[in-house]
Amino acid sequence: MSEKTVSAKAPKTPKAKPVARKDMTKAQWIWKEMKRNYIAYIMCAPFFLIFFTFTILPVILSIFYSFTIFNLIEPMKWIFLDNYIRLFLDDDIFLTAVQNTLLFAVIIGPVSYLLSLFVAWFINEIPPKIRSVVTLIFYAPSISGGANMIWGVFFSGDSYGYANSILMRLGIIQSPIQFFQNADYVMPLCIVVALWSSLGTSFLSFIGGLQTIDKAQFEAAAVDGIKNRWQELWYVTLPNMKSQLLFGAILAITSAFGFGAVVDSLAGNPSVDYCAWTIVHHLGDYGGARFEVGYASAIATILFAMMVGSNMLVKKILAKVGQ
Amino acid sequence: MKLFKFKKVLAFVLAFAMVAGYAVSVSAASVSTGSSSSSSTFDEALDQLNDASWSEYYSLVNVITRYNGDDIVIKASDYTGKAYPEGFGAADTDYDWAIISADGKDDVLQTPDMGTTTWKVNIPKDGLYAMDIYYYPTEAKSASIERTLRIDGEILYSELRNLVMTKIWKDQYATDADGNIIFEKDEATGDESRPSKVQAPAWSKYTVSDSTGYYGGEFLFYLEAGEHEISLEAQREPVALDSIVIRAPKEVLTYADYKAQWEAKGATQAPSGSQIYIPAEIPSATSDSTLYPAADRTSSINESLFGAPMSASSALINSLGGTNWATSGQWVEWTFDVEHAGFYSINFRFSQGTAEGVFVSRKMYVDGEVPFEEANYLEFMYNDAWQIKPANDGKTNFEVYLEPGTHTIKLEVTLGHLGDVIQRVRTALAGINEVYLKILQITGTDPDAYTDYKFYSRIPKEIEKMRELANELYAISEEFQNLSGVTSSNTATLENVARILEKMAKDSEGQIAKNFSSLKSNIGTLGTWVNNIQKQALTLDYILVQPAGDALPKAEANFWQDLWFEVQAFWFSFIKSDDSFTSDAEEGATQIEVWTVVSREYTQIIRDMIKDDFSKYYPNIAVNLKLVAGATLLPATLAGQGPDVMMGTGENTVINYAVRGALLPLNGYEEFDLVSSRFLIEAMRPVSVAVDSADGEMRTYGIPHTMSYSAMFYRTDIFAEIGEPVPKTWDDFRSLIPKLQAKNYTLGMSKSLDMFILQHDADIYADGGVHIAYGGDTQLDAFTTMTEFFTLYTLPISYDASNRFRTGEMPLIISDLVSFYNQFTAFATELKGLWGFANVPGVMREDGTINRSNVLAVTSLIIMKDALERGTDAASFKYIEWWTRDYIQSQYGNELIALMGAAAKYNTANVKAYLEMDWSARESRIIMNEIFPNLVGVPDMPGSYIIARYVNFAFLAAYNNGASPSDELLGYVELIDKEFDRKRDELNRDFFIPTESYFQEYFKYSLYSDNYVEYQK
Repeated sequence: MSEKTVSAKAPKTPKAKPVARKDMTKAQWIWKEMKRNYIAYIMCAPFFLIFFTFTILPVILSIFYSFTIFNLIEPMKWIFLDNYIRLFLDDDIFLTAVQNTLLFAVIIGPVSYLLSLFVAWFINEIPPKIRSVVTLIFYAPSISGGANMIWGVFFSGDSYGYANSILMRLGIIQSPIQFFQNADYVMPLCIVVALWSSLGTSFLSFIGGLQTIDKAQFEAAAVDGIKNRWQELWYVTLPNMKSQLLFGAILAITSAFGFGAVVDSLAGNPSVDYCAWTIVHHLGDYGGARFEVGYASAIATILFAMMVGSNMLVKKILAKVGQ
Repeated sequence: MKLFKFKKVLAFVLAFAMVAGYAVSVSAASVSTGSSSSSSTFDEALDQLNDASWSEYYSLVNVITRYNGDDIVIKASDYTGKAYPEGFGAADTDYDWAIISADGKDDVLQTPDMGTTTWKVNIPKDGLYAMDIYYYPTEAKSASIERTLRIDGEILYSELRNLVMTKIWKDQYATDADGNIIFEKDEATGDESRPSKVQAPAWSKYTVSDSTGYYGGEFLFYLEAGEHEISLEAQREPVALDSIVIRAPKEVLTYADYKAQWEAKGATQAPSGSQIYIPAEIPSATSDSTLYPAADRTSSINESLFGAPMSASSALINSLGGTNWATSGQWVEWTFDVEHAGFYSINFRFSQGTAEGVFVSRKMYVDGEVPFEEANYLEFMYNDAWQIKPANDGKTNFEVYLEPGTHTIKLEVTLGHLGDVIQRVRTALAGINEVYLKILQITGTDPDAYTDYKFYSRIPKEIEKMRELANELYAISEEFQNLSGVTSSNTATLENVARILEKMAKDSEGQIAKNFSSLKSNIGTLGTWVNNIQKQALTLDYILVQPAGDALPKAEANFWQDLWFEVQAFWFSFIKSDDSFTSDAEEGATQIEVWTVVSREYTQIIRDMIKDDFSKYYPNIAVNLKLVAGATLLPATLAGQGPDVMMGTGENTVINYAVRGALLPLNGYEEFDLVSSRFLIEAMRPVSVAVDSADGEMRTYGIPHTMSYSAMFYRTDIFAEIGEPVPKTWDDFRSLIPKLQAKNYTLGMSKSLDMFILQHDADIYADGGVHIAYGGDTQLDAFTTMTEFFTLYTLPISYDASNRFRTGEMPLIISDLVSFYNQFTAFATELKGLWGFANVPGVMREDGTINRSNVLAVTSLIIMKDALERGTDAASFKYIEWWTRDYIQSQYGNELIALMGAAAKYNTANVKAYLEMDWSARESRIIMNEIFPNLVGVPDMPGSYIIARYVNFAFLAAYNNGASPSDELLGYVELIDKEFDRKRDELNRDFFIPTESYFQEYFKYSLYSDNYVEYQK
């Protein structure tokens, strides 16, 4: 959009011989266009430099490092695909991590996404003043950073922890359960906590999206024969907020695949018997504790690929909205 | 469309960045375990519980006639008996009994920091007596002198257990050309630094009185006519004594009498305008090294030396006191000159914003004497703002008569009028604790409200006691309100507890079980309350001695002054940086960069020490000290921007960096042997490796900085009550568990497999550190033993140690020594003297000896390899040599205590400095004789991080699923070894654990080594 504005304002040089697109190669054409819109490039240069240096370059570097042995201190050694071979063939824990990550992603990603969407949809029906209060209530868990620690207190392994204390008082258990030190409980609890704190930014953008929809469209739809609210949601509301849906989906995927902090703060690192070990944990373990940056980079690259793949999948699904 | 593509890329990359940027640090905390004590401790504890207090004693004896004859002087050198505590002798102290001369007095008696000295005295007639001791505080540690006084072998009342004679400290002031006192200024920042303090011993008089500040006056003793034996038992510090004087009690002189006395002699008001200004920041003497002047910035009109105004850009020293001057007995003395005789009012500009809603108290001495009774109880009322007020006791403003000449004024911390109230709360608290433990023994920690516990028939006495305690607390609360004049949260705390007790006493069957847990939390609250209310913090800016009629200056700045000051200060906060500092040095000096990760205040201390001491020894080395976050070391090293010396790195970091070639081995440097002679040999173990084979070249990659290990803490009162000794072996420990559990107590254990393995005389590593030895039968047995404490004996895994130890629910806890000690000293002052510590329990060998090995962990000072290229490595090692010196580490420890209070013991790895710290004689004996010889350092090997992880997995599998511990652990041994092998393949250097004989021989200068040789410089 900005390009158009800029090009409209850019002074035309009447003396130059008019050139048609078909007279030149694609590269020439791009170069010409770039020269014509150079102001736009200058304007985005500061952002681009920062973005390139701190985001794109690390990604490229990380892919590069994934073919080496590198411990950050000594010079690296080029080993081609050894890291990947070891990762898939000689690392049982990585497979556990992949399995856990997929499990988390499949449960948390869609559930939190749908949860955000429907809660936003419901809240949108409430009168504005009350709505902002309710929004805050739902949004609060995700902005108050360490708030999930209260789950740690509630399910503390101490016999004075709330859950243990109640269960012992009721005579259900005799000695305290180590909720976050027991493979049977860690995974389900972490999923619950993750869902509880998942109504985050995407939830807000959904609410924003819902409010920008032109009321006239609902009226028009009613005239066109919409039968119920579900149809209204599907044919009018959702297509109108596709960009928010995509944004929300990307966030959901990122957070689902990047899931790990909740486990760390509740179950410690590593969680007992690697029962809630995710790819991110594996990555942090090798990159941080074991000084194996090359190997960690290989893990990161695979995680990257998984995210890209699932993102494409989501986009395909989103394209079906309203059809 | 383009936009959409861009968004897509952005989204992917963002998503990736979020994940990649997220690094996880693994830290597997391993804490260790352990046990001991003699029965004498328990007798002491029981005695202490049964002691009468001074107020009880006084109420019995105050009807007796006071002696009014001449002083009875006992010459200290005429002592009739001396005795070291059992098992100790002259070799254990540097201050054996001796007749010496000190500061102009001959024929005085030096008494050591332990043991009892006895004198005989003839008392002419029955009556009440007071006692003075003339003493000379021999220069030793920085702590005050503590003695226990017995008369005819008896402790007459509990306060005589801890008589405190303070030392005298003086500041070494710099002066300008005119001879005026000034503070040294930092050239770059303009900040003033405080002068150093030195002990300045001088002959002093100590009147036997309450050291805790609860009672204002002097202590009295009822003595019958005839011969008596007086003995002083040393608790802390040596002292030289001249004489002990038994004399007539002092007459009480009220302020009205005092004034009338002087007026009768013709004294009048001093002439108007004769004003004497004393800056509080330059006292002539103080009782503690920690009472130093400070730069207070809470008011924009604070005055620095002789009225100089505040500076927004630099920290000028302008006040004295604060939280450092809050403990009973601490005093500060100022000297001033008077020109005109007359009555003067003594005015203080002070800030008292800590004791909310209540006053703090000071005892005022003028020329060494308390001029009148009320001067024992000066009050400084709470206010957010600075105040300027004449000396007063809450009712009357006092004036004192001063002749022309030099005078001193001394303010000593005391609890004043609150003392009595606090004492009553403490007594009540002890009573509540007793009742609580009694109920705990019947109901357990979590009583069921619907069970019939038959309280009325089982604890009728306790129920009656609860009723009394409730009434007592109500009465105290009322009295407190009268004293402070306002209702505050203070009284609410008291009444809350009273209400609960009242309920429990009224309807015991219904309410005790229901309110039990809230009683517990309220005991904690009440303990904290007692703690806080005793802190008598007061900050002074200046003292104005002037006639009562003269106008006083303003106490606080106005709004615009404050605003302007804050605006300037805010502006300067962008300009001034405290994170980095470079010491002065000669031209062409070698500059070394030192990084530390401690807090800013700590860095300030290190900086001052470098400035004062290091630059004296090494004027050709300039130190650039930087405060950094720990995680910056790796990226900085990667970029070649790392420091020369890094202070305080963990064992695993040392080995991880070393094995990748990022650190310099330190063995080759001059004075390495000297440096290594300052530590336990075991502290060298985690930082030393042999290269290429177990007897290959020894390389030490770090110099120990701090050390930590576990100890067994126990509640002497509870152990005395159940009549069991503190366990020495795990068998004792095991047999203790059911006995304690029967009374609803439990024990706090920590999981340390390495400790158990070491105690079974087995190894942790095999093949010189190439493999783990956990697969051996003994090692597996050790693991089973450890696990069974939690599975079979159901000891809790997670618990809040200090709270459970305080309530007595866990009368025995194994925890890190220094951190728990510090925490508990500060947290539960009401339990002072009721707990102790010992080494961890051990395993009985076949020959009857007990192996009580305990795991030692260290942090280290390291030199990065870049120093070699820069040519700064030798200078860096000189810095390390300097920093680990005995007196430097002692001084650093003392400064930390000065900064954060007595509960901030510093766990330096320097053995002498560690023992120099403010431990009681008994505590340092336990550390030195029982713990130090048993400490064992556990080396880290490449891949060691995986051990704690898998041991924990094995433990949890056994704990959660009831699996066989040894099977579980055995299953993980292979995985650990696999990780070890992988690491060795990956790395270019091959590290081994040196063989024992090689290690012992190499570090023969280190303390407690088998082949110990004293290092000769």
